[in-house]
Amino acid sequence: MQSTPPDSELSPDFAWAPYRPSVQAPWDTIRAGHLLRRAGAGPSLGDLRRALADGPAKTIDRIFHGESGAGAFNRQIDDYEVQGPNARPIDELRGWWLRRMIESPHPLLERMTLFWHGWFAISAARIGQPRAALDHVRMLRANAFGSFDAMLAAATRDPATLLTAEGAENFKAKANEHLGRQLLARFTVGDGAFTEADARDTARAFTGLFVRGGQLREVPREHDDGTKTILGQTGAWSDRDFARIAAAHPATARRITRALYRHIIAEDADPSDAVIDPLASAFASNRNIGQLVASMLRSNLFFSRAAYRRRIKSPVEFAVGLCRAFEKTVPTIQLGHALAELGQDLYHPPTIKGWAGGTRWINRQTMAGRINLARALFLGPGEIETRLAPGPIMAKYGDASPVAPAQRLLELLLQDNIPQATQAAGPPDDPAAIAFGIASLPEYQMA
Amino acid sequence: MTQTRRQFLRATLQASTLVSLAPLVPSLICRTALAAGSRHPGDDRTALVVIQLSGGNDGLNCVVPYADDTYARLRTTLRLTASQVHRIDDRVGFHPEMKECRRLFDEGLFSVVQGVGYPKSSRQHPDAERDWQTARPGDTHCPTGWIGRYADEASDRDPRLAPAAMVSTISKPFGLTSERTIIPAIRSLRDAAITPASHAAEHAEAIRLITGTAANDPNPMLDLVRASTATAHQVARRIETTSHAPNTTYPNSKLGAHLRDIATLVRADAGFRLFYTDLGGDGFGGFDNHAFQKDHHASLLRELSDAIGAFIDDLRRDGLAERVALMTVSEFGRTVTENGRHGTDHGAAAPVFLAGGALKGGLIGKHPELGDLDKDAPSHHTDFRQVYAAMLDTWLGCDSAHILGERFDPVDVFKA
Repeated sequence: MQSTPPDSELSPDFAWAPYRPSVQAPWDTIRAGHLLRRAGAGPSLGDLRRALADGPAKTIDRIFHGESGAGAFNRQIDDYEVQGPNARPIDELRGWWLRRMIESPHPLLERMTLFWHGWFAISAARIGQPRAALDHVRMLRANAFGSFDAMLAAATRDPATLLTAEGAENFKAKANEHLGRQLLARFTVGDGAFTEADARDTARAFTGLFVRGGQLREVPREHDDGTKTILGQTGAWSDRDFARIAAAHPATARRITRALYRHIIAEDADPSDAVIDPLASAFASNRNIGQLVASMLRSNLFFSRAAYRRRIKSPVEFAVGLCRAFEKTVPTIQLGHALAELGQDLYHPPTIKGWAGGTRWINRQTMAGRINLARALFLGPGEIETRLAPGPIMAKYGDASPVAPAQRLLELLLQDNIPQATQAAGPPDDPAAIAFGIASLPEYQMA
Repeated sequence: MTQTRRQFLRATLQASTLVSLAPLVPSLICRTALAAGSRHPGDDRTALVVIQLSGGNDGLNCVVPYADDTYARLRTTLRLTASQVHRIDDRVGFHPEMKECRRLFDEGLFSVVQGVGYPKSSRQHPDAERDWQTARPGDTHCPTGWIGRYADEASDRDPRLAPAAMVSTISKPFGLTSERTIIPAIRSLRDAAITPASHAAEHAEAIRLITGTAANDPNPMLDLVRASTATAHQVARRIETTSHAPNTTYPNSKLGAHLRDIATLVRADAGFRLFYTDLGGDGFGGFDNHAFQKDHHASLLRELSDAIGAFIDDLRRDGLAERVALMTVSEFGRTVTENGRHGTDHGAAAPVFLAGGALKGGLIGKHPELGDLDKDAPSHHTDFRQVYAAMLDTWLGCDSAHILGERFDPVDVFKA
């Protein structure tokens, strides 16, 4: 990675131009591993080798469309999440989502769903109804790559979103300004880009919408149909008009672009406006989420050292990545509890601001927790009953060589640093112990 | 692993990796565990232990106004008499089961802040709990707890820190809700340690040998993770050694076990500045005694008092009592009048108990006047946020106004 000139990374033209493998920036295991970590939760050895053979363009196409059978897989998990008309309890839903992430033939879809979960940050504890929480996440999944207009229109009428934003009551005589502020500050333009008058009129646009028994109820006589001014536009706006106006606002596009940049490219430094603006203005005009993600994943910037190892894996990425690497599902209800302790409790972001992420994932206590979880996954005993089995997976990929299995495990889990490995003293011989050791390294925590 | 490889690893570990990590490791852990060093309030090694007394503690039967006629008249079956209490002065005395608190009180290691509450206090559990937990009474939208905000602030200064932890098995109370910081629930010491510590570190070092440590590029984010990892291993080793150290005998109770674990984490210099634990459990809690209060309350107070006594003695043995302050919180006190079922109902002001080696000791503020009741309950003269402010400003050395949302005059509880 060190061969890409740093100055050209800062030029937006170069940054967002599509990456083409070159002598300075070859398509190698390191870049393939980087792509598969950021666009999913990390590769298996098979994924890695196929990506290497297929090249970046074909690999990215597959990442976007998913493997064959993705649709059927998702429908099957959808069925498991419910029991008749009712959703399963929330810790089971958390488990099913983790299972989906571990087994999905379409990992980018789950990664984007998780991104939007952090954006709208519903809290199942506050909602109280597993069904509403489940429906919310399904809505995120359905819109994850689609149009942000559709996403926002659906999210702002979604009982789970409204309950989390304390927006279940919207009487005409008492417009819910708190909801108005949340809609502007959290889901769209962000703090500093709206006035109290915007918040008040946004609240008026939502009057007449109520949540009762986990269901949206529209009460037309409670709707304030007077004239409102929201983000500079005046009319007799409803909640749908709010969604349309706010989704197309440039400040919303910039916030989403920056958040996705952190999610996909790097979270160690805030990019300049010059870097963000080309993508943000394209997104402001087309609101096409998939296209925004594709621009990032295909870019020179994405494959440069400004992105490489410049994110910290979230607890979910850490654990799901290990399971996918070793092609095995562990009991996910237990895993969900363990990940909640590490700071990422699916269906329960800490506040409506979502997860802070980045360096906030790691401190001495959570690092000890990750090491303990890795031990439980590979060696036991611990909170996870089933072990991952690196030995058989390594055997599956055959070709015994003098440095196996350590070298192959490093290829699978870290990709870089392999040259040094060949020169070094021998590691412990048990593949599970080696895998545990690698997962416990600071380097492994970097996405 | 062969013996030779072990020795090789150990040698390498001392020679290279940890040395290269040293500048990144927080200064806190470079000090040895038991050298107490300076012990002034606000010093970065002080720790606060908060014990939640769930359900609303009957303050009147903890610090008993045994000589008060109103008390004697209205507490028909729960009344404690002059001969039963541990007399503090000619007006009040401790509940008979608070023997250990009395002992610490006599030694200047225990304080009672009397008449603590807040204006327009709620008498509903969820609301009053929320008020104490957010420290923003009446703000129904407050998204975080006061401990969460303290932790966020500490971690904004240094993200490697894990500033606060819950040491209990209850579900995490709202007070620990933070925006940016992960506040762990430590159900047993295994959660804070790496088991077995030495083994895990050796594995990590073995792998490091084969991967090499040379970074391709300077990566400050990776450096932070490396520093946290190094600290995690060091703390884990210290927990492993210090948890085997001979301890004071703790009472065989949940709270006793939690405080023993907290003492171990303090002794191991694990770096937590604020510990949260509980007595009385989840839900409305054990202190919510609407019926047949007497025996139940007595046994809770015995558990509280004995556990605090053992905890302070344990810390004192290692010269650590002056680094720790303990504080109880409870959502409200109880009514003076009994409710006809040998119990009491939800009230208002109650005392906050403090323990630790840096306290002034004694009674702080006067006992609430029972001639001036607030709907049958003692009224407050000290806001609970003044006690929080003392802990945040004076003891933990941060800006309480930032965390509490406004400036509260800290209660004067610490030695100068």
